[in-house]
Amino acid sequence: MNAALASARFTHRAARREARLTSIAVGLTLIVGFGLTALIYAPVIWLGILSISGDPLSGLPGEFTPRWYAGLFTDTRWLDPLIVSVEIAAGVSVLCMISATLVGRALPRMRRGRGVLLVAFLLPLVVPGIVVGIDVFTFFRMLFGIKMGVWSIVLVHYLWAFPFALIGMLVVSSRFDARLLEAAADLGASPWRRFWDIERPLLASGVATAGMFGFLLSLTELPRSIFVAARTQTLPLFTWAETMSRGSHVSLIYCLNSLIAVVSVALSVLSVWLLGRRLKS
Amino acid sequence: MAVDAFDRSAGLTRPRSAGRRRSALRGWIGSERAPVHIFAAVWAAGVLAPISISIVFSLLRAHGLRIQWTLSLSAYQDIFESGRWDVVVRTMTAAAIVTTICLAAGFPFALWLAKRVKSQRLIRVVWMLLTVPFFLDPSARTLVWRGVLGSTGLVNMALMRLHLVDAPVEWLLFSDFSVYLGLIGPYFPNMVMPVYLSITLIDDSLIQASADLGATAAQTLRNIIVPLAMPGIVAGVIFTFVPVMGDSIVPAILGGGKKEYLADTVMSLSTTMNYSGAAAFATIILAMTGLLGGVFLLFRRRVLLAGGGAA
Amino acid sequence: MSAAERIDFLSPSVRQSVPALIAAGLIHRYGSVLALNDVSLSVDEGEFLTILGPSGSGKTTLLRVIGGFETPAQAETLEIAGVDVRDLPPNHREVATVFQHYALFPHMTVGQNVEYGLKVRAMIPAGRRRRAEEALALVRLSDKYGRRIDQLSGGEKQRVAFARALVTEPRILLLDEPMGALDEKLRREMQVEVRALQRELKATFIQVTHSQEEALTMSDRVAVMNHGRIEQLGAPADIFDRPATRFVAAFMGMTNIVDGVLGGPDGGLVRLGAAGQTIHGVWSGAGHATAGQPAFAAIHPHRVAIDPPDDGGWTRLDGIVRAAAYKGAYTEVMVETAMGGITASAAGLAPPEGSPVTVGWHGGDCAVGPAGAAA
Repeated sequence: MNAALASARFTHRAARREARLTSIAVGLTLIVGFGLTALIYAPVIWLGILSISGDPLSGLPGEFTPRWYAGLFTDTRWLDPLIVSVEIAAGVSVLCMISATLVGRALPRMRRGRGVLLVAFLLPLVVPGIVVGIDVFTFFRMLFGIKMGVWSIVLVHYLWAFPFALIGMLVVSSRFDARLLEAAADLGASPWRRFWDIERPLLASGVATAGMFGFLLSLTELPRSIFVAARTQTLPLFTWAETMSRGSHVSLIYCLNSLIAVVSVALSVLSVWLLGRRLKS
Repeated sequence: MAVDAFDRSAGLTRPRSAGRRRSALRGWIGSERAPVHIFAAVWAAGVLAPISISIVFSLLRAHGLRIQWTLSLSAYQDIFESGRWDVVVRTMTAAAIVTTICLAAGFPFALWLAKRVKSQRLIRVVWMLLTVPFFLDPSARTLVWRGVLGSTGLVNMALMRLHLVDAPVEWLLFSDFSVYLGLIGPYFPNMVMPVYLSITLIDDSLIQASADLGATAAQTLRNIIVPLAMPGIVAGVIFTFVPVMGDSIVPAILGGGKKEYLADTVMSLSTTMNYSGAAAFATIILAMTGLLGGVFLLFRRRVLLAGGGAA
Repeated sequence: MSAAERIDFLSPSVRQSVPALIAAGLIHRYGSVLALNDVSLSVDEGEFLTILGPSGSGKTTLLRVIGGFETPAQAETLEIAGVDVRDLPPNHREVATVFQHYALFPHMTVGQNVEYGLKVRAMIPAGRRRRAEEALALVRLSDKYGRRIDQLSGGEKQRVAFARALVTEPRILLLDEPMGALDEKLRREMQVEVRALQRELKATFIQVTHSQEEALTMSDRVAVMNHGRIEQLGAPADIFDRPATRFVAAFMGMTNIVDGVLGGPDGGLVRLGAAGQTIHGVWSGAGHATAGQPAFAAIHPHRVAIDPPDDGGWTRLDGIVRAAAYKGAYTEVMVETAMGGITASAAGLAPPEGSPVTVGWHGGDCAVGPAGAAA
């Protein structure tokens, strides 16, 4: 056997070995990666299963029954918090749409200070909710003596949601070709027409995404609200209080939480899908 | 060279140096950047000022809702004297462990998603799986772990039925273990997303060139992909470590009061109206965030320098 | 100006004698970069002018200033068809642009794109449709009215961009590297087609490009820009054969440039002393030639002959063949001479490397201009 042949064989063997190792690595990656993703979804699915089980508190399913859901109709204490939550979420959603559009359309085209502004706007993403909660409370309540209420819940929800809304908008607006506005101006369109005919339709999916993000993030926000809610009760605050009290209504909480999870999964899948479809075309 | 590049990015903005005297103010009012500047000012006053107030506040004393305007380090002294430093250490340890696990699992996962998956549909599905958790009520997604991990829960029942254990395993719930478990899942996307984005920015031709020059997959990973993905990795660490450190819901539900974490302390301090104490803890969290942010900037600089601006 | 007063681009019956564009003393900066350094330019009705230059020369800036997308730091005059447009935003200027990457609105159909300029002028739908169809017919896209933009090929997109710009009857059509995104073959076809379109419409076109081929084949006049200045403005043949500056010579592919000192006139030619030898050439500089001033001589490789005739009109240089590169239609021969390397394009077989050879050129083919300062 000559040396060249031997070395070729060695190379082939090494290549095969590397290919085998790579496929093992990929396999492990997928198992672990999807395993961790399952850690998010499995509890939610389990929650849904338990919510139709006879004894959810036991942690084991069985004796499937709709009676806990029926209980939602007799014990309607959740209704007022739900209405408050939806109202706040709608307000946050509108605020997010307006501000994300104003900022998001101009930011990619700004020549100065773009980076600094972006960092400032996205900062709440890296400030834990508990810090935001305690700080907003001390700042407004203690420093200025302003009583907490719906406004402060809207504020903390908004500053939690705005970075997401802005990102949703920027995903669309940073792909927006500003030369289209020049082309429209060149063809005689006034600034308003340029916005209405060109920017508005092309940025619409970003605006919708911003609104959806704002709505969903507000609807499910808890850690910040705890500090600034005063006597206002949102739905997450209600379920939180029920959860922590370990009272007799926990089975009802399973139902409520399942419903919230279903609605928020559906809405977020819808909004992410809409955004993805828009970007594809 | 530079001029044409300027030309195309300029948009319809007008240079301030316009010869025929148009007042700078009037130009600003009509421009599309004016709303951004106004919004930024409101943002600074209504958002940035409050979330940095704890630094000031932790250095003051307060009686209930009344502030005493005297400088004092007593809030920080209390942390040590009341033995709450343990809480800081335990929380940092938990955050470090959770972040490490997320990174170890998230980096290869992001690499797979960015460079190995060919189907756009699969990428969208995975991306969606990672996005949805942001919109889940934190207590709703955490609560059920109690039923799974408790002494009469799913795991213990299964273990006993299989005769692997005789008595329920107690450390499954209301322990550091249960808190880690509750935190890993929800913050996994925080790690994957920035890492994924930074890996997609790496041009395939760089990876092909590395292989072409004789590098094995492992060498390419170490010499090309990891250095270029470094900003994303550090961003992922920040996006994971910081919220894990500040998470108040999971420790409260799954720590069960037996293991106290930073957020538990902040909550109990605020319920007892010790607001300067709470502010001191908030400041520690912010300081940690700032530290990690500094590391991020350092890495970004290094990659920018190394990549000649390509990154 | 009312619609009735406008000149229909499809029936160019009346034309005013006012130049389509008068620009004088344009200055513009980006930070410390002087993008336009005192540029003046006049373009006649029905003229096809090309602004040629390397990237960063300011040519795109000039086009954007005319279109109204940049407000120059200073402008003494900027008139379009006799109207001072210095204070007019783009939507009030009677120019239309074919953008480099076309900037077609992706959410509108071909027809909607073409009609857009008429829609914002509040024209009734039926009238717009008729005009848009005429414009599409003009660019041979009649059957594409209802198409989406992403269903078009690159060449079709470019035609739509032309139709969209032309339908508004602009006084000047501005073309920003219109062929830049097309492949080689399509580019050749479109060069011919655009030129034919311009002739048919007798419209005023101002084009920006970095391709000398495009500039030479399409234009009535070419303005060569460098460092924010127009270095030379003239007919394509003048630019190509009589470059006024060293930069224009090099940009036009005159790889053989020799620096020297100007001697006196000699017949219709001038003499240039370089490396102890005398070169004859045609004075191409903008100003007067003065004996003793530093100057350059430049000649295209294809005008350099191997073994030139030994007569008074020819400059002859002895040298040695250093390299030869086969180029298909010709062979490029690098000859080392006392004046440095001279490149010649030989039609037949090249002499072997290392062999002695005589190269030369006719005085009338050699351009001589002032060294250093621009025109």
